[in-house]
Amino acid sequence: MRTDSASPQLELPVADVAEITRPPKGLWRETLERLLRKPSAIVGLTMLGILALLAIFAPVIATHDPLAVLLDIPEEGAQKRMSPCIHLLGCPGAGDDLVHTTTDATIEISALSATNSLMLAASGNTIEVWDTETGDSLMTLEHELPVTAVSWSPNDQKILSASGDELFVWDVNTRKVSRTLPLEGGANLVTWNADGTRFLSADDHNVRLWDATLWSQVGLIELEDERTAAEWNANGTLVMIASGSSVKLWNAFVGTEVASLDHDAPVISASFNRSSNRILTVIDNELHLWNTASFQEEMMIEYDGPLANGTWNENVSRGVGYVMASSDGTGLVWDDKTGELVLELPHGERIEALSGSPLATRVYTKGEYSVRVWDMSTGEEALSIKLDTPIANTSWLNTGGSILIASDNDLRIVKTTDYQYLMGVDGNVRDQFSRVIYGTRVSLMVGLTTVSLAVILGSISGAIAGFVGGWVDNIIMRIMDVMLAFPPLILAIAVVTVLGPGLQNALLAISIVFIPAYARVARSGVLAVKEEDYVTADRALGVRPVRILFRRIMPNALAPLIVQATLGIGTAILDAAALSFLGLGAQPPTPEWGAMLGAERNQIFTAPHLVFYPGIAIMITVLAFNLLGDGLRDALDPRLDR
Amino acid sequence: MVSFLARRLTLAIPVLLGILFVTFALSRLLPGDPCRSALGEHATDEICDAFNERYGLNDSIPEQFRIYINDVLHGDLGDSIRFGRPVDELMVERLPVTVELSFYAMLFAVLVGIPLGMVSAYYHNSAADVGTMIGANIGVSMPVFWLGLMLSYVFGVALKDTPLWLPPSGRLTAGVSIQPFYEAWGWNVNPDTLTFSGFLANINTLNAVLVGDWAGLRDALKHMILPAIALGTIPLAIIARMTRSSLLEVLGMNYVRTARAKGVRESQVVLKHAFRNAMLPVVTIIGLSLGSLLSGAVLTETIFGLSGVGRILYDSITGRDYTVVQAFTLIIAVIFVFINLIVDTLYAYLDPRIRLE
Amino acid sequence: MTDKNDNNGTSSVMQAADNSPLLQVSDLRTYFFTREGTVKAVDGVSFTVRKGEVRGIVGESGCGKSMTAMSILRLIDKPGRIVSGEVLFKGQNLRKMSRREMTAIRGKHISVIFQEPRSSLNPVFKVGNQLVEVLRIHKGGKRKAQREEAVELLREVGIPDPGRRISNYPHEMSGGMAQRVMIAMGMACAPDLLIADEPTTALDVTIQAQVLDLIRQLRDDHRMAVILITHDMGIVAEMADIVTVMYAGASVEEAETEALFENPLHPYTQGLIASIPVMGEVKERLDVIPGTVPDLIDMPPGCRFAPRCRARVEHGLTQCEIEEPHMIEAEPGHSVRCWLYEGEKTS
Repeated sequence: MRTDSASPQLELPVADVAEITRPPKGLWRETLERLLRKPSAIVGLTMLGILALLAIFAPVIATHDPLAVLLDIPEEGAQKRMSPCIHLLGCPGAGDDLVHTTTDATIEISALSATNSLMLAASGNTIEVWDTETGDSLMTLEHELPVTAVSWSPNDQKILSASGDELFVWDVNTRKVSRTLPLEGGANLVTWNADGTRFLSADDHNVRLWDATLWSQVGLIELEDERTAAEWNANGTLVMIASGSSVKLWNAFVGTEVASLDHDAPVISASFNRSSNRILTVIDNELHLWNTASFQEEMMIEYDGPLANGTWNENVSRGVGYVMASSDGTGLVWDDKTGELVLELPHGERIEALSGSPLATRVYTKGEYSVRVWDMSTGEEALSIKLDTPIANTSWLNTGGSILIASDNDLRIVKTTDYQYLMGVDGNVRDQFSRVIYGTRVSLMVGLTTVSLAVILGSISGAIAGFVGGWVDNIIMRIMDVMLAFPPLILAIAVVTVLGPGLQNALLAISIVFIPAYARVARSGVLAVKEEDYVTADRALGVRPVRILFRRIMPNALAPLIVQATLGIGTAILDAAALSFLGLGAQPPTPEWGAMLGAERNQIFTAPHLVFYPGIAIMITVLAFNLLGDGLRDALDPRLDR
Repeated sequence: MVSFLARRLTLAIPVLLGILFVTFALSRLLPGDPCRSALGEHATDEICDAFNERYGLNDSIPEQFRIYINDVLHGDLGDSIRFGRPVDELMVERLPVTVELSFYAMLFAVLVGIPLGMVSAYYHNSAADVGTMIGANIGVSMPVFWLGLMLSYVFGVALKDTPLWLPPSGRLTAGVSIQPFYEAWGWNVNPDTLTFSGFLANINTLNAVLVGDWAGLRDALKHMILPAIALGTIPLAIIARMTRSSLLEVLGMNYVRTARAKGVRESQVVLKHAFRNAMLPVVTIIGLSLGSLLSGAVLTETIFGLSGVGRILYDSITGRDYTVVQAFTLIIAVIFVFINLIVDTLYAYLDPRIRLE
Repeated sequence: MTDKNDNNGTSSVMQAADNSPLLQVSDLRTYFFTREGTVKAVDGVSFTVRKGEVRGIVGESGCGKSMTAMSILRLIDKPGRIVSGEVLFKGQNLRKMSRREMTAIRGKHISVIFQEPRSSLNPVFKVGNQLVEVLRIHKGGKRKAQREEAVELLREVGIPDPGRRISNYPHEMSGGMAQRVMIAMGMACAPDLLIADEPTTALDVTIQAQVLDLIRQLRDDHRMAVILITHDMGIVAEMADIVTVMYAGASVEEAETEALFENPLHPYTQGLIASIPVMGEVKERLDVIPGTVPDLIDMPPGCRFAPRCRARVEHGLTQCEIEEPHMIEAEPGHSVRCWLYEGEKTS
């Protein structure tokens, strides 16, 4: 018994003292209770709970894959709109007019500007221009004679119109004619090339090439047979003209013939594919696909009926391509590599035009009085529009979520899908909502890991400095002082640049930058407790210093560290977002809010919602941690309890 | 007071040496070849050799450090590798932009933050208090770059054609220029050399006042509003919160009770007796937030197209322009140390208890 | 123990009505409305103060003594509020005065000195400026004259080398010195009433005596009334002419000092007096009152002192825990709030 009691007696005083001075178990419960009485802490915890749920259930909540480019889904066509559209509140659905305007005379020609933000319609002697978002009429361009042809310049800044024996170049900003060019015989077609340096004008037998910097004609091509097509290639260096049974390619700078693609029968239509490396021509009941590098025919497709309206429908990044044509009332789709007939679209009325949506997921077919939209993956009809008046012109808008229809005096933009992306789509056609939801994961992870790392490194170095003291303390704290002398973000930028851009390196950089803050807190916590009686008792009893440090001292320095860490998470998230914004953190296509903001920052004037939502998400997350941190500070420091 | 300043300065010396070492080390650690990033991917080895010779990059690292310290002590900050110009010229050009921006941002933060915090504290727990504190919490949680972008959208685009429109980028409207005051005053100053007057002349608003160009002043101020708000919002929120909690504490102090018992008017109790005591921690926090202000300046300058210190630092870190990185981080750290010194001095002025120490 | 100077009337206006009370507090109640409940800090206190008189208010800490003083000056901070009662100063009800009028009273007609002199002085201003401020607010005049007057005041309260001390900051002064400055500030406008709220508690014993002497001397010189708030029965015995004993927010006994000490009526007062150590007397242990002051939120329904009262048990009283006793004049000039005496009278 005697020997047994000897050691407990040695231990006992220590345990006793520790019991009194160390926070008893009840204190933590009390602190928690006090925390839960703070409105700010409750709000913060609730917000964090919601964010955590969003992060965990992101795959369920997100409507799309955050990395996927929205190409193979049927409900394509997001309008880049600021306000999210909620169905119950009367969102426009498929077939509803987004914009509807009228003109005084029957519309002959309609055209969308290159960015789709403006549209025009020519009726009689006038051209009227509207905003496609609002439907506001912006300007009316009056001519003395009927307008016979119109074209937008690729930068939306100019409108080219042909009227009588003259070409007019209108400046969209001043709303005035900036040039008038004489044009013998007039024109029924004018077209700009891709970079706006050249344009062509054509009547039935003559095609003129113009220089849009010197404003002079640089070439004249005279055709024996009536022209059936005239088109620029993708980089604006070649012009393709179809007439009679041949399709010829001309050099756009000097107007000399480059190649001739000859057919056995009159060419009904001819068109370049998107990258201009192939040409599709239609004769009788045949489709011919030509290579523009070798000028050789690659493929011939036959159909058992007369064909017209040959056109491409392709998406290069998805690797899909189709050629399409119409045979009376049926739209036809073939694979452009195998020549296999993929779809037959029973429009009914004789088809005057058909066109694939910009992402090649839908097709519309247009008859004289009707327009039908078809799904490319199923071949099913998505929408049918019938009008009482003849339809002059139709074209896809943006990515294909809506369609422009000109008929009689009416010009309307009709929505073709029911679905609306909650936050629109980003510049790479990815669902912004899904990306924002997935971003929660990244940001929470960033906040927690950086701060954990910084707290561990900082508190260890601070505790050692405070506990050991002397020159160790001096050296450690002077290093911290030097680090604190740099503005934090600049130090982080420098560190990331040394380590190389990337999310992991950004995390590391931010952790390093934060170390001094925690080192200071830990050190002062240690210094405050170091001289307490129970620590002195431990020392006197020869308890190992490491044990004293971690068992006695650190738990007491914990409270301020917890507060500092919680508040630090918010700052860490902000700094990580800033690094990503500058392109040094998370790399695309990672759905990180800062990176998303950085990628779309140049769209701020045209699509502010793409910047708005990720920023709000950052703010809410940081706010949640800050509120919790404030609540914790108040709860752990009853002196501030007011 | 003199000995106080001297002691503080002495304490700053090891920190400054550490800064010198860190900036040097960091810049040498930057991956990539400074020659190729300055002269392009296709520079030949001979050209690069000459280039490295010219900038002393062929010497051993300790030798480079020795030369660097020697140069810095002689006031020679070297030539920018990318711009091929002396760094001090760049400094005369860029520093004023950031100084001006930071000044107005801080002015905004202080002039709005302190009154907000005071109202909040005085009408403690009122709707105004709760509203201000919610606003302040949101303020500190806001990403600077996002705020900047949204401000430039709202005021630059959404409010176009209204009197509230503000220019979303730049320092002056294209075509507007303000004559440097030394020219207007007929001073004979070579604008290319590092001069204090060149520095002052590049602070547009100050220069405009000096030459009395009121239209130019208006234009410069107009361009300053959005960046200053974007940059000043976080310090504003921090200052408002600190003022509130500090004043709240001070208002419960015995000496405030004494002042009231003396028959001091309530407004004087708050504005004189409580205010000066409450400002003590606020002064400290203002000094501290100048650091985050410089961080924010990198982002603000990027968004508002201002070529200031933040912008050039970012560009030269990513472009491996060693001399510029070294010189500008050095100057920032030095400014930092001096700001802390000023804050400490101000603190000592405000709190007589410190002075005797 | 009546004041010797009582009838040496001088020309002051107030002297005309020497017999009418200078300050009359009746049924004063100040409650604090906190989240946890209503704290009845002052709950029915009445007393009067005559010119030149030293009124002692004595009780344990937390019994509402200081709050009574603060309520007289209307210096109660939120969430506290004076809910009822009258405070008549020279016949005027202070509770009905405008803020501006009240500000003019404070420091000029009624001034206060507090328990902790060093923290009661503003640390960032020189003591001279703080002193001059009172003069500037209430008297006006030239700055230089004010400064000279301030030096004079400091000399009067016994600060050595006042010309130099006037430029000191509060942290450069000792507690006793600072309390002298506080007293100088209180005396600056020669007020009619000085409220001394535990003026010596924070001071060393030797300094305590000096400060009390100073207060007494100034009272004699300026013929002002003093409300002396303390928990120290010894100070009361030494200084006060008439004493109010407070317990848990209410006054429980009121008598001239001599009468009170010779014949304490309330069991609480008896306990207080018994707890004073007497020199030379050897006791096993000091008599202390068992238990603690009740929570001011959950006040017992009957007599507040009942739970701690020995007399109640000894006399077998039953009303104590049911109904609150009234303040009755048990002996001439000696009132008490206790069923012991109320019962005596009625039966």
